[in-house]
Amino acid sequence: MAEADNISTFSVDGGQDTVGLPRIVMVTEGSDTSASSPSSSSSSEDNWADLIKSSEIPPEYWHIQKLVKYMKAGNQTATMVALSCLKDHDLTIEVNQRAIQEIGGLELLVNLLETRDLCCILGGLAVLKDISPNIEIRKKITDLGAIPLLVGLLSDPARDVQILAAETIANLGKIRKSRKFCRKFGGIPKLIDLLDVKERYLITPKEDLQLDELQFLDIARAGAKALWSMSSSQRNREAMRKYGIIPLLARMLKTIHLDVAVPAVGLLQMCANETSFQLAIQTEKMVQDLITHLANDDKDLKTYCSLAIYKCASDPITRDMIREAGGLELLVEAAQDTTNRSNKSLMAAVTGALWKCANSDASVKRLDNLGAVMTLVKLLDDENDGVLTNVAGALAECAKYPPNRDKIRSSGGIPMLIHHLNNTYKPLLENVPLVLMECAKEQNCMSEIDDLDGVRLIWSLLKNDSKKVQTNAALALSPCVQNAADSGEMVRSFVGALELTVDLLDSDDHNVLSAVCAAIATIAHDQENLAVISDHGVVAKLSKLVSTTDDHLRANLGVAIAYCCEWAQNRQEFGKRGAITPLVNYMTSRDPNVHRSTALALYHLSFYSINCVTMHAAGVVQFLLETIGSKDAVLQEASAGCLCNIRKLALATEKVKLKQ
Amino acid sequence: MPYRHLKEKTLEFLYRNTHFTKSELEALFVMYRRLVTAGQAAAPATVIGQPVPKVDGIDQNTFRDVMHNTFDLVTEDVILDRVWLTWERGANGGEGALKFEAWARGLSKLLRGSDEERRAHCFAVYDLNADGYITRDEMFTLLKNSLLKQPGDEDPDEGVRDLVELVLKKMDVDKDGKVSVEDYKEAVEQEPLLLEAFGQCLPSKRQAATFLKNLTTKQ
Repeated sequence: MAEADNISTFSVDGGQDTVGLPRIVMVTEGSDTSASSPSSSSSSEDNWADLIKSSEIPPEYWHIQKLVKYMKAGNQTATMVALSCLKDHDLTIEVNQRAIQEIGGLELLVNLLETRDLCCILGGLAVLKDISPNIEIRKKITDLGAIPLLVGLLSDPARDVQILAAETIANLGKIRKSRKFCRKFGGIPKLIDLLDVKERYLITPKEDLQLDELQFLDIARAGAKALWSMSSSQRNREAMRKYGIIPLLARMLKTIHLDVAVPAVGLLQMCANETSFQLAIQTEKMVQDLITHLANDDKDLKTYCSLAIYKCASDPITRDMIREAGGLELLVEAAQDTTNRSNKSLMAAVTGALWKCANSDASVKRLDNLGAVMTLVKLLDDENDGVLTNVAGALAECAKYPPNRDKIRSSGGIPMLIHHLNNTYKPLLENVPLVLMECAKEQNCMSEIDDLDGVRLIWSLLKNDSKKVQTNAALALSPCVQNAADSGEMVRSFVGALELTVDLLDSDDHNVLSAVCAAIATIAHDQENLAVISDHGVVAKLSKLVSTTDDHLRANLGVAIAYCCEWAQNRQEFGKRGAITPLVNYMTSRDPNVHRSTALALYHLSFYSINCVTMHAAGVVQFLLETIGSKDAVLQEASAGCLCNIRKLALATEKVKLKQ
Repeated sequence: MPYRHLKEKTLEFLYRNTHFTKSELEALFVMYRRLVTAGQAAAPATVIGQPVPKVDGIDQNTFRDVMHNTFDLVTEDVILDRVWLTWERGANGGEGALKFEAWARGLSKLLRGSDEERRAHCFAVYDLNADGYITRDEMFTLLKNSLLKQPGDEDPDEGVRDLVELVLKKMDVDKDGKVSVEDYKEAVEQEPLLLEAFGQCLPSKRQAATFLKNLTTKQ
């Protein structure tokens, strides 16, 4: 591998005398080139510069550079000798990696990949694989065009080459550019081919396998590692799916070998970010295998399995499969295991999986049997925000089932939850109000929340700039206001709270609006508070919202309008602002919730005669005649009441006419 | 005298003593005949007027051509000569032209040899004086031309000497200053790259596979 131009500057002081060998004059590239190399991490550059200055460079550094020099100047034989000596050094330490880099070794190694000689390729790959974990070297190698060469080597008939090439790609894949190149140069289908290994090899213990069968396993493992690395890019995940990775991955999951399972599950959970993969986990019956691996003691494997479950459990059928396979037991066990507490990624993954799985009634019951609520409450003192978010989410699901609310209270969960309301981590702030929302429906819990000033803290979350946080906080307010002792006084005591709430009606997010309307409906039960929000212009704002087509918003809006009518001139104002006719239109919706709340609104509005006229003109009677026969008690009453008022007005008009 | 057809007895014998199948052996015989005829035709007359001496096997020139062109074995002359010299010629030994049996058996080692056979072959090639040890001087001879002369070098052989020391350190397991057969065996088992550490003397596996495939598909 001879190059004629490998000498840049001749430095006299380079090279240390190595004992026992003749003095060797080292030709090193001038120090200015290494300092100007395009590296991003300035701190490591500073460290390196200090190291050079302090001349604490170990002799290994010079030895390695000498070997690279021989590779450059030597023929194939010399290259092989130098390569085999190079492999003796520990190439994972930075000094040695730098040694190779600074003498132009990287270009040389990448060139080796282009030769047709198997031994050179193998030697070169072995070195590249060991040095590519270094960030700078990774970038440099990618820039030198290593990726297309490596992708080409994936099709080489020699299996050693395939394995080393795949493992090197796995290391390089930590950079976005490499991932893109790999895809562009057709690397993904080739890597997927590597996963194609006979099921028999996957399930037979290693002692019972032949040497070449073991090699197939190694190939599959290397392929999985490389694909796992590649899967950080969304486009790569799409490409993987298109090229048919799913059945191969499903087969790989059946393995009993830990070293194959870890990259396979790691790859699966990364891909599970895509809904297509989430569905595939269900249809390809991967759940059972995932749960089997979840039971494994290896912490990393547990973490990745939990992450996969977390991502695919949004589908109800998958949740059932997980429950039936015994996933919940394993997850609770992992959460209860105190030795896991320090492993934050594991805890976050496990609690996240519990959260998503708890979304079914049957699951919540099963979790109760396992004492999950107590375990989760104990975890509320964790320092890690990710863990806390997931724990809160899980508790929110569990708390939908009334007996759990008291369990949370008796385990001392409420003070901790309220404490977390002071946190700034937004996902956490989305989940905690949901727990409190459920707990507030229980009297004992509500009084505890109230004592600890929880309602004020929830209310202040309405100021948060995240829409989801605002929504969930507003949702939590409704039961709080409803069930708190002396709720009217309490609400009034929060300075600026009511104004803040009414102002939120200007938001453009429908979820926020729905939640705020629901809150306003409960606030409006208290006369004094209703007066205050009317002063803040709630009627105008509600009227503006009336033209919406969102059923969820319509349902809440109707109720809000209904209860806001009970003050002063609000009814009249609603009518003047043209809220009536659109409201009548709501009755055309198919959603029974919308019907109920609209009927309520119309009923309350109908106590003002002009409103009745408007309603009647808008053709409300035909709708009410239908809903009057509804099985929904509230709807029935409201419709009846509304019709009653309309008829009273009609009768009164008749009487006046008759008198005249 | 070269046979026109491959005797059944010879075929049986070779089938049992090489790694080739019968059809491969037959194809190799055809190739052998072709090479010998071509070699005969190319042999120059030694004395003017005298008939050209009969060539009754593969001679060194033909051998060199085959290694170069068919097996893509481009290597130092030293090595190629050693391969020629150490080629097993059967009971009669000698250093003359290769008859078919010797040819077939040698090729079997080269193209499909077991690890043991390949190791033995390489060691024999490198052991220049056939004393069972590869010494420093022998290594130097073999590696003499492996480094390009650099313009700034005061002593061009210094690099080669250094390289020799490196290899010796790696391969001399029993630390006696030279590489014995056992040393070589152990070193190569540890690091397969070192099999041809002193020069390429085997066709690459890829080349061998291609050759063998073409051999039987041509029929």
